[in-house]
Amino acid sequence: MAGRAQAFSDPEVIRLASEQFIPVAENCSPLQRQRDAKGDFFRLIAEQGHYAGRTFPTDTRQGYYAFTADGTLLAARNSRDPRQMEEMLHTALRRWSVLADTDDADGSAPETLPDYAPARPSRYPEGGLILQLAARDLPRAVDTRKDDWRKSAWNLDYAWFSAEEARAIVPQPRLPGSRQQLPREVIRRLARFHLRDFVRGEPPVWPEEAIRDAELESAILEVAGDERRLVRLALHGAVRLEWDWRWHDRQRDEDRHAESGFDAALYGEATWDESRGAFIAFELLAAGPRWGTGQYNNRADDLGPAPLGIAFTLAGDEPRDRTPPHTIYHPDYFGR
Amino acid sequence: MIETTAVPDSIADMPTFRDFIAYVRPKPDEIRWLDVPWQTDLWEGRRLALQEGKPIFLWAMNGNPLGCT
Repeated sequence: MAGRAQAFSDPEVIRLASEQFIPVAENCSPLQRQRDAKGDFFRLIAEQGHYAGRTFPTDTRQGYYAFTADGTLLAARNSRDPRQMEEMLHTALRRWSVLADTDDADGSAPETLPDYAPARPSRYPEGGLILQLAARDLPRAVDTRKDDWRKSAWNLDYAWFSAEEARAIVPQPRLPGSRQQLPREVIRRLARFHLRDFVRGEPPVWPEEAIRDAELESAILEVAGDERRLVRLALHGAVRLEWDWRWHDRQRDEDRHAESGFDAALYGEATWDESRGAFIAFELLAAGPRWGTGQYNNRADDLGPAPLGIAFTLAGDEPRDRTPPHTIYHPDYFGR
Repeated sequence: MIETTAVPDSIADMPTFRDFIAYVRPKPDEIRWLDVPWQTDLWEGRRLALQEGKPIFLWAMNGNPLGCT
């Protein structure tokens, strides 16, 4: 995350990206492989760029690319240096200006796109509950972390629930004092897919068997507003996850395993608007000790137990708030 | 089994869950890149680029740049 902040720490980079370009952010891991027109288009761009043809040490194509809608690369770079970012954007704009004059002269610029049938259709739950997640280590009484990016690490993600699942979070009858456990599927998704230690990386989904305890209750605190349409809820629960992860370390060519866990207390409040059929406020905290490590969470030097916090809040209405959850294409995400 | 407690003493001075949420959520300096009006789909970005007559600026990462990476 520090790298992201650094690359965009120059206001001129933000201004250029916002005003002179159509800015797009997307996960290139699937784009590098997906067999559809969008994947083909990304590969057309990437194979003109800074990592063209690269296979070692990885085949990643991550970085920054400026290009035309017909697939002509204008500039590309993979750098966190804001000055290099600014320089790259200016280079792209100069080349764009030259190309635009040429295209105007010969009329070769396309006006419409071909039909696109996505290999992986969006799973966005229209009208559903869209939450933004933030994860960060909580303060420690004794802190042995190195004083580098690992000490200030934090991360973002999103969680998606259908409109039906959101409605089912509100207890019946809709009266103060009513309480219920959240639907099993909602608790299961929170636990397996969203109570991961993703502060420093991208750990895999907890297996079902890792859920040792999982409870989350909603209770109506107040029913207010015109026609008593606003229902204010308290959320309270606990989730305990433990698993012995096993993986093959390709660099060392050896099988490895490591235990890890998260013992989270959950607290929150939310407001359901009956007239909209949607939550208009949602705040939930999962906090408690995490321990151990795994293949992709970069905790080998920080086995704990040490406190972790994950905050769930209502996402906004910007296009960026449709960013998919990291694990959205897991076959169990919306149920088994 | 490792013995644990739900909320460690070192954070006991944060009295409510909202204080914890404020601590965990990114601060404005940490998310300046969210000031850019990002599209989240390359194909939609390509369509907008044609419509508005602009080049595309793509931020591609292994993991979503706007989410978990």
